Amino acid sequence: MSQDGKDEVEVEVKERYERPEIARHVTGLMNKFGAPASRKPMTHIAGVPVSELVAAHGSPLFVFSEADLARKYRDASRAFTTRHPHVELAWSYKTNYLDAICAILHREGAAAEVVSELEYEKARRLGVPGNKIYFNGPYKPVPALERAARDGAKIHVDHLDEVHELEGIASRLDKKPEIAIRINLDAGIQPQWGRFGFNLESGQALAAVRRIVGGGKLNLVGLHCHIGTFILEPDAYRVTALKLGSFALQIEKEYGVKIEYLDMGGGFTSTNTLKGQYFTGESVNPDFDRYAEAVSVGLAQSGLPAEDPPRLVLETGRAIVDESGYLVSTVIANKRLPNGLRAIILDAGVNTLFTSFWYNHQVIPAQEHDPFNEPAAVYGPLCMNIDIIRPEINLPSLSTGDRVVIRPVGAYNVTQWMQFIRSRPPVVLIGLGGEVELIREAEDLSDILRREKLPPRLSLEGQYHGGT
Amino acid sequence: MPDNESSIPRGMPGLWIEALLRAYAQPLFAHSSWAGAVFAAATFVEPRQGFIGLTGCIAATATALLLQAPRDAIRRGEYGFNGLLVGLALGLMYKPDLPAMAILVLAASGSTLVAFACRGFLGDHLGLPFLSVPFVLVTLSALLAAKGFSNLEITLGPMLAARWADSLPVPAYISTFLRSLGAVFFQVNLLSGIIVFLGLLFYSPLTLLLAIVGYSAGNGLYSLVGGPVTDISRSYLGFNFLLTSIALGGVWVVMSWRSIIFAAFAAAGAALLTAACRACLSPLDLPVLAAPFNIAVLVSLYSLKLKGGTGAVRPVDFAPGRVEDNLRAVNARTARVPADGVPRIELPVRGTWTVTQGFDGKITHKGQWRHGLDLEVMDASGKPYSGNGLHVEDYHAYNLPILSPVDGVVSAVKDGVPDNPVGEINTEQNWGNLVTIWLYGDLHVTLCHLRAGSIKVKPGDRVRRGQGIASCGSSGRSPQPHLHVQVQHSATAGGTTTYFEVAEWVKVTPDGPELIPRGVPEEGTALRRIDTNDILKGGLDLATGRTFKFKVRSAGSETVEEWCVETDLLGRTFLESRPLGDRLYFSITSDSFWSLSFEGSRHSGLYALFVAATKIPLDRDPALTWKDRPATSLFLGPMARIFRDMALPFTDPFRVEAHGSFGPLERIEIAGLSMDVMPVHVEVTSRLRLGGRGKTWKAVLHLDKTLGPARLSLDSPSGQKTMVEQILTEEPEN
Repeated sequence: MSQDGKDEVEVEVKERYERPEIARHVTGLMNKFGAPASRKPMTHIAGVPVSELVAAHGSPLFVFSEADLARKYRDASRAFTTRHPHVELAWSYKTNYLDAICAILHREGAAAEVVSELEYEKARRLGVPGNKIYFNGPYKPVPALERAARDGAKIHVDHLDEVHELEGIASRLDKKPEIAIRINLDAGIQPQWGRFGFNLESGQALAAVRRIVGGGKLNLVGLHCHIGTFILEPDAYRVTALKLGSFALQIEKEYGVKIEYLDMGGGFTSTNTLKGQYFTGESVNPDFDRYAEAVSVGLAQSGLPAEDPPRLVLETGRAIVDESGYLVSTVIANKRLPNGLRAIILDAGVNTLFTSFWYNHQVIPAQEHDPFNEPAAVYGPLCMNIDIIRPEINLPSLSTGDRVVIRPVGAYNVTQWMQFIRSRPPVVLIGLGGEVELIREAEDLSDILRREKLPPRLSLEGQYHGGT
Repeated sequence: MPDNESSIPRGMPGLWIEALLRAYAQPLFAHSSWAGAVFAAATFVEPRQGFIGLTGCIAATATALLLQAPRDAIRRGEYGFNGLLVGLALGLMYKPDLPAMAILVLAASGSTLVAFACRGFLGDHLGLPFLSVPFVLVTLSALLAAKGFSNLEITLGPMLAARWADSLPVPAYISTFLRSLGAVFFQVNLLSGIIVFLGLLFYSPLTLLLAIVGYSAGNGLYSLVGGPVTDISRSYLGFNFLLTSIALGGVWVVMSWRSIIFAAFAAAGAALLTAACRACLSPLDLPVLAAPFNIAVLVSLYSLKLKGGTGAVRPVDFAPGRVEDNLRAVNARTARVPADGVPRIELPVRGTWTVTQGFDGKITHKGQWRHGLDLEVMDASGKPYSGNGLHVEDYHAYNLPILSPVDGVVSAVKDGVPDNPVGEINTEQNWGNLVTIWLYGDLHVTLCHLRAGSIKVKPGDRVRRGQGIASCGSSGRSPQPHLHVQVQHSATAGGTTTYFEVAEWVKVTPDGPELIPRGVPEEGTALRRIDTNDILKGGLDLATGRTFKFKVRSAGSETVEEWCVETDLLGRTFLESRPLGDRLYFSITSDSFWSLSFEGSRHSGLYALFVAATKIPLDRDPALTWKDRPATSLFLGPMARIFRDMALPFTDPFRVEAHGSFGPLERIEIAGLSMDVMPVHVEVTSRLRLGGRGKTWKAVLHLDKTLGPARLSLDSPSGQKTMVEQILTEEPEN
């Protein structure tokens, strides 16, 4: 407070009163917020010690478990084949197109679902025959369409311009390509995807069918609908199945075209938890049985014949591969934020773990730790403010050099990861017998330089010579 | 049984020729015009008797034509042969003068009317053949009536015919046998007997064997009990024994060593009946004719029918043909499907399930309920549930669709029993909610422990295989959700179970899937239905009327074959190769394609298909392997086939087995058009059971979804190679 009266502003020096709070320490008992956050550390992945994995392959490190992957595929297959007579699971390449992952799924019996010529060629290169490929996506360049038509792949048409292109190809090849049309519809959920394919309710889809049948050059064999992603409401699939089935019957009745398959797309959840999702994914997300039940009820309601109905195709990606993927990362530093929150910096960030933009991944210490948890922000190594793995999560104290396992991370990361600031880490696969195999090497500077061209006139050679 | 294809032209003259010739074959159960011609020759040893016989045959056939009996039956001589026998029997006694011929024509025509009546009564109501019952009834009536007619002149002609043959050096016993054979046609001379013997020897040696067995058994009984020897040596009644033996040993019963014993007993019984008939009829001065044979055979067949087909002696359940053909057909079929009378069901679930308790199980499948299957769904970790398994909803099997395993009629339904909490059982309502489906006879399939409120059918509903009828639950004595299936002898819940087999299922093993054509899955077996493969289904879509053209390279020459899919009157579908006329009979279900039989040249392209497609399961799993037992005789040379025919009643000396597998999809090009084809690899080996090096056929069939068989190759054991490639004449449809 000023004596000379110049300052008219009163400055308060006394601290504000804060009511003290006494909380009793309770360990091991239930409270209304759920079980204590303290969990067991995850010292092993698929039976292999995390320390061994890191010692051999470094950190960060993506680890996939073949056993988890095969088990999940068989779960999906079981859920649908026990309810529907003809089922085909088509592996959604964009979810994870590592050769080894695709090969395991193809070995288990999956067809391939691709959305670009790059994915298409990847599948063909692996040995998948054309007729086991479903070709989706809004952009398929003409040469890609022509190749797919030659191979007998199922081409899912997104728009009428593609119909024109395909008809041109059909004339050139003197062959009727097998196609499906992609349909968007109101499955009773928000957001309603409308940008892909033809709308059902407005009559656009029927008009497209009329145009395709009238053209006489394409063989309409399927209907495809992918209502969205991470759909937590199985009933949306009942509605979709009901509408697709009825539409197939309508097409057969009005145009005499027998629809051979209904592709229900994907969008099934993994056990990941979306940001903003109140309960954890592990506890509430539907499993394959609930989706399969919804689909089978919808198909039955549509009036399709129960004994020899069209083949049911599913383009499940995430729900099959997510849980089989783990990211091992290392604590680089601990610090305290200005707001008092503890912060942990890892050697893997959003460059490696793209899905942390929309999931609250589990971050689990990989070694024994004390039982007391404290909220902490988990950051990646990038020099970017957005590089956040978890804004706040209860974790025990971790020291520099400690490992954490982040999961589930099998879907969309090893396809969407960025070559940004740091190069991409290696990927290993733990086989059925516990063997650890490198399925993708770590990238280094040479991967970045390989495609770069420095015009000679820009060469810096001789520019720096000692002195400042 | 396939009828013998004859070269006799169609049309009225052809019909008459065939009907008459085959009428002569009928008394000895033969189905061949040439055998008929031989037997006819035997009746003309005494031309006048032969003439009366032929007249009777014509009269009876004409009557059948006038009555518009089915042409096929007339063509097979089924109506003519009773008239023939009437004629031959009358001709044995009377001269062919006008009065006798008048009686003959009336009696022979009457035999057709009686045959109509018999067909209605015996055939439609009892499912029995009418044999020569019309002949016996009509002839006895005619003879009774003839007693009062004075214008009929007795003849001794037949007795005196071909007396020179009596001096042939034939032992008495054999001579009596031969005469008994001739007596089938009311011939009393040795020469006729010899002719019939030779005809039968060439037509069907097994029939002859049965004739010998029957004759010996009947004769033996006669001598044992001291019956009048003249019955056989002079009255020629021995033919009843041998006919009984043939009918019950190999024509209406599948021939085996058991059937031979059965036939011998039946023949001895017929001998007893002969004495009895004689005692009845001789006071009236009437002959016994074929009455003992008819009585013995009809009574035996009806008893066999009532008993069902599971015993040691198995009735033939199709229109019988030659003894050898019956045997071959039954043998080819039993290799593929269970023995007659063994109920067969399909797996009543979709996807892969696991047998958690099989027949003679450890828990409840015991005693009168020993034939039961419990099925559950296991996940990839081998658990039947996810989560903690404390609620029925946690179980994978819970609420899954349950399908009808058979075509049948719902005979019982129980609903309203709640699911038990996991781990508890409800022994009050032991079977829980159930659907019982009547199969045939007294056989019912029961599906138990269904979820309350899930049953979609009601008693009286007709259900088809694969139709969804309910959902899996855990009601009744069911500690956790599962399906219990059993086949029982009544519609009542908990009826006594009977042995059954599951048809066409895929055994899922870590080493890959294997097709099991029939059998009972053991406890722990993971199994599923066949899951239809588009390419195979399309590639083998042989709808009637479809035609294909092929270039065939075989034995150094190149020919063009056109294959047409046709269906005959009996509903058998076959591919006919033109212009050769080869035929491949096949059957196709939603599960499998089967080659049934092949007629034609072993060098044709169609024969290559017969080998390659002995059986093709239409499954989607490229790793599936299968075994099949194709029609053995088609893999044997002519001598081996005769040898096998002779041995077949006792054992099959050959073992023919096919092993099949799929190859990875291949890209091939035909006439500039490239296509992805599914290769089917089949290897057939044929070897003597006793050992020795077998013969191997190797075939590869490439199937295209729309074009059908695109390419086909066959390596025969003779070193011959047949290559077949489709000629694309027009645009592939779609």
